[in-house]
Amino acid sequence: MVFMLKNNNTRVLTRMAGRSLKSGRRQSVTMILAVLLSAFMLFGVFTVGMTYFKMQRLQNIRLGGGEFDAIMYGVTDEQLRTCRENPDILRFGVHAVSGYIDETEYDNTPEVTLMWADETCWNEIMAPARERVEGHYPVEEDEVMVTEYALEKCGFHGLNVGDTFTAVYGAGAVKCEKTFRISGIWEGFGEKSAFYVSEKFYEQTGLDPADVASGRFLIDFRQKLISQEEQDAFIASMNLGKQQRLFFTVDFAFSVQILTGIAGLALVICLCAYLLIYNIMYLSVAGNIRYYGLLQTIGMTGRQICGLIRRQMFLVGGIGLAGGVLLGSGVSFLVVPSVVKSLGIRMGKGGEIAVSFHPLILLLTLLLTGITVYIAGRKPAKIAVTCSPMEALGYRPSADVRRRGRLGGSRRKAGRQPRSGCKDTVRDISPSARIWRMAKEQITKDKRKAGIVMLSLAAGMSVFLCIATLLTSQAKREYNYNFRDFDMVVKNSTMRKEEQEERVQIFDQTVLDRLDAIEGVAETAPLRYAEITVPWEPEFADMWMREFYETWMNIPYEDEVEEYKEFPENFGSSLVGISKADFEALNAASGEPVDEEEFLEGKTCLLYRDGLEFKSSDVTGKSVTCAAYGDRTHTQTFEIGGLVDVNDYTALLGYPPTIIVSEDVVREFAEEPIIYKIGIRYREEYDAKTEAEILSVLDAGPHGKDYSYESRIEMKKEVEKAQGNMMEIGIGIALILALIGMMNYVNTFVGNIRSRRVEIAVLESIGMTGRQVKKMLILEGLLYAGGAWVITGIAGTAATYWIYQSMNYTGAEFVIPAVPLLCAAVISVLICISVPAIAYREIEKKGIVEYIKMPVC
Amino acid sequence: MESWIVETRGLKKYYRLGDHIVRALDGVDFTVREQEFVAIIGRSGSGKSTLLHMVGGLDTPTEGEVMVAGRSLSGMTKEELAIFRRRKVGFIFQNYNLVPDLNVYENVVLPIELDGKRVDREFTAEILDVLKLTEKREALPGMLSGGQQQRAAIARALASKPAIILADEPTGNLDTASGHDVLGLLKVVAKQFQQTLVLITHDQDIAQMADRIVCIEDGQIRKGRGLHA
Repeated sequence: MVFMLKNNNTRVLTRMAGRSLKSGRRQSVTMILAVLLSAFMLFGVFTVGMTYFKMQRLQNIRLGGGEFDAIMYGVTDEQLRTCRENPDILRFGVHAVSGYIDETEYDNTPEVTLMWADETCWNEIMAPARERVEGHYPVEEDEVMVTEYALEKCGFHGLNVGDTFTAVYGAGAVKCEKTFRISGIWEGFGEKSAFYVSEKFYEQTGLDPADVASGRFLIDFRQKLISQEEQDAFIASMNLGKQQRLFFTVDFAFSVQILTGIAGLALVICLCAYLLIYNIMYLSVAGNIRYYGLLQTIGMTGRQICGLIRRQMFLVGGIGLAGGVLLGSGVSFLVVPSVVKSLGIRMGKGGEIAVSFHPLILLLTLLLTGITVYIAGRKPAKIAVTCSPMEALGYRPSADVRRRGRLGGSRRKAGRQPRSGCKDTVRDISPSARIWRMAKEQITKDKRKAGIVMLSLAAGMSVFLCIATLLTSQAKREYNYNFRDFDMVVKNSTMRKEEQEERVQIFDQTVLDRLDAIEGVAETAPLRYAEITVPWEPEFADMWMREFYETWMNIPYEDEVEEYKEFPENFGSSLVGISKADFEALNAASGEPVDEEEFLEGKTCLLYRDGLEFKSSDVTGKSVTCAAYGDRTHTQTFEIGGLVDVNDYTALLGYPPTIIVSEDVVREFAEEPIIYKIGIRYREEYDAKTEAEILSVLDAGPHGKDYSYESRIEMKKEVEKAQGNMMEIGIGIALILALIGMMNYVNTFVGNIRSRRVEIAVLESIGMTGRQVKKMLILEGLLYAGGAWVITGIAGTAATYWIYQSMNYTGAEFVIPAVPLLCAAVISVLICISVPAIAYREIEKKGIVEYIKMPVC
Repeated sequence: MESWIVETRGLKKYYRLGDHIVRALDGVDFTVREQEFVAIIGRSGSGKSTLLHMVGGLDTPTEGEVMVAGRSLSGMTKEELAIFRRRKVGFIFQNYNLVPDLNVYENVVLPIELDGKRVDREFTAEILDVLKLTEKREALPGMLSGGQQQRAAIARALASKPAIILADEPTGNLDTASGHDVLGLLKVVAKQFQQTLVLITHDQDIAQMADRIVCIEDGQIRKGRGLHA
């Protein structure tokens, strides 16, 4: 009986692995660098990427004023119970409208609301959007939590915690003067033009969170990944009333798509890393096949060679991984925060995004890099083991005789004309054509290898393309909520007054003339309205009011229909006049365009749908009659052209419909229709000087405090503040990936040229000049780059489009950024030209003689 | 005065190997007449290949001068040497050194094409015919036997009508029969196309086929052994 004893050769194999790495220092450094870069890329990209998405979430928190995933208008006790029992919900809070500040001694139209937030809402949901809090949330009935912004809107300056102020407030049917005590001041993002009141105050107003006009119910889910089906199921479980609405925040609603997009990106990154390590390992091991053959000739078994290569991989992988993680940590934890700091982003509570260590990222990096090194080393190890000693001594990685043999055979079998050599088809070709053909042959002779090089280059470029596209679209997102994309929209704040006589013409002809006179103003577009009633009639008015009550009111229509019939003045609405340009914009946004001529002539009108469940076909063709407010005899009837959902053209929303007609019709109908808003377009976008001039004109008049405005400049500032340094980090990721892609190409190409030095020496020996060799190599480089760009153009663009659309919840147009792409193309061409030239110079130094004695095939 | 197609004077090639200086060639004066067939013999490491590389412009001497077809190689740039090789020298290597991606015909005409000259099709066809490669002209090197590959290499060396053909152990990778066959053909075509041929070999039998034998030992030509008719 023969016992096989385990041969203890671990020490010798480890020593040999270490020695071979030392002796082939240059090659070892390249391999370690490859692993290091891949580990760095994965670690850095995951860490910085996670920070990026955290920042995106922070941006949404800031824009939404709190950390929540869904908002519901109105919440009943039954729904509160359902939410309490739902294990998927992490927390929920009530954020309720409690009234408004009607006037103060300094401002008649402060436009400040009164809000109440329950404990969870204030302390947990809204906390991440706050940057500073002084004092405490109101407890007593007269206490308020304020922002300096809201105080200024009321005309108060220099008030602090503990100070009091007096204001007239309205809440439900109540309107009275009250002295409020400031219990706290906060700054940050969210409802800044609001005073937060106590629960006691809210209770005494008689308002109810169940009322959709008051209660806003904010829900934060435990799980951040939720499919459309789950969203629908949650909405169904809430059993919404007809008036209630539930919306998911965009990043939550599209969470699955966003995650799929991120996974796609991570996959491409891993592919980049795999190709980089695989190529270098393959070239390195393949270049050492003679060495392994030598080991076999002196009696090393295949298993031992495998063990040797595994140990080499382990050493290379270990050093590279440690270096990569260290480098990644350095960049993530030192460089990024310092960049963040230098950009003026505060690292504190309420806005903090500290790059934090996550063990999962480290684990993922170790796992992915480890697997990649293992897979990348498997095939070369297999080659080293399966190659017989004699074959190994003659092995050359760039020459595959069998494959070329088959190629030649297939060419003949296919009956194609020979390229040259046949008496009938012999053509003289120029040296350039010959070099071009040789470069082409080099690419096509080993399609798999050429494919891998092109794919690795294309992967890097595709990731660059993808991130550049996402970032460009992010940067271009302008958040312009102004109608017809005006640069500024000023609003008449007296419109919020309860009494009709308090709603006055603050934008008179003088103001309009002054605005038009400003040099930087290109266009002013005033919107006028007249207050109207819509007298009861069975055909249309009754149908509308019935639906309105069903949707928006808690009391049945029947209880008030008699009052409506008798006193339509108690049910006021507005007749809004719009210009031809406004009409065109409305028609373009509407799915069912209306005849322009009939509209402008005053024959037809449009109605604002106001959330009612009417289809255009339900009302189109019917007639609607309006009467001047306070004069039942002055009426006008229009044929209804259709319904619109755009709420840019509503003035005072009443129970009856807002009737939108041509501006000439309003002017004829009312003596002096009030201008309730003006759209202003500048000659140059974001012209701060023009904006300042406009504001000074508006401030100068007698109604200097009775207007409010929204401008693109202000929106841009707010968005930029909310975005923080998201853009810079995104650019950083794109650049790292592009660099990795290029390094992959450089490594592969240099390795490729090194492995072909015998072939190049042969060409030189028969008289190919250095310039001709360089030209051939550069052509090869350009072919690789061309191939990579074709792959990027087709597969990369398709993947980018898919990732983009899956993450494009804003509905922004897919536009490939031309400038970054052009830069990438120029850089890649430069690299493809310079790398072969530099690599050739390196091998050229060693001369020809050393190599021509080696076998070519 | 006799006209030499190849003439070296005081040719030296020294290498540094660790702390030692290796004298691969140590003052070689070597000449070849036009249309002469010279065999260079010597032990492994004697310097015969180095001499051939110097004459072919593949390597540069440490000292001394090489004249080929009346032109001195010293002072030539790399580009000039490459052009010199493709116009004046035809190489035949032990490993054939055919470009694996090009077929036989393409390999044969490659130096001419790289020179931007018109390929003499009749001459090329004649060479292929003499070397029995007409049928194989479209085959890639990988599809040929060793003997056929070496014949293709000979065809390539002849095609550009060089001043001299340098063959470095052309039969080293071939079996005896193929070796003699290839060498026989080489001698025939060299005569037929009036070529000068310098051949390196270990094989005394092969060397006997030459007009003259030159023996190199320790980087120097051994006196008294270099004559043969």
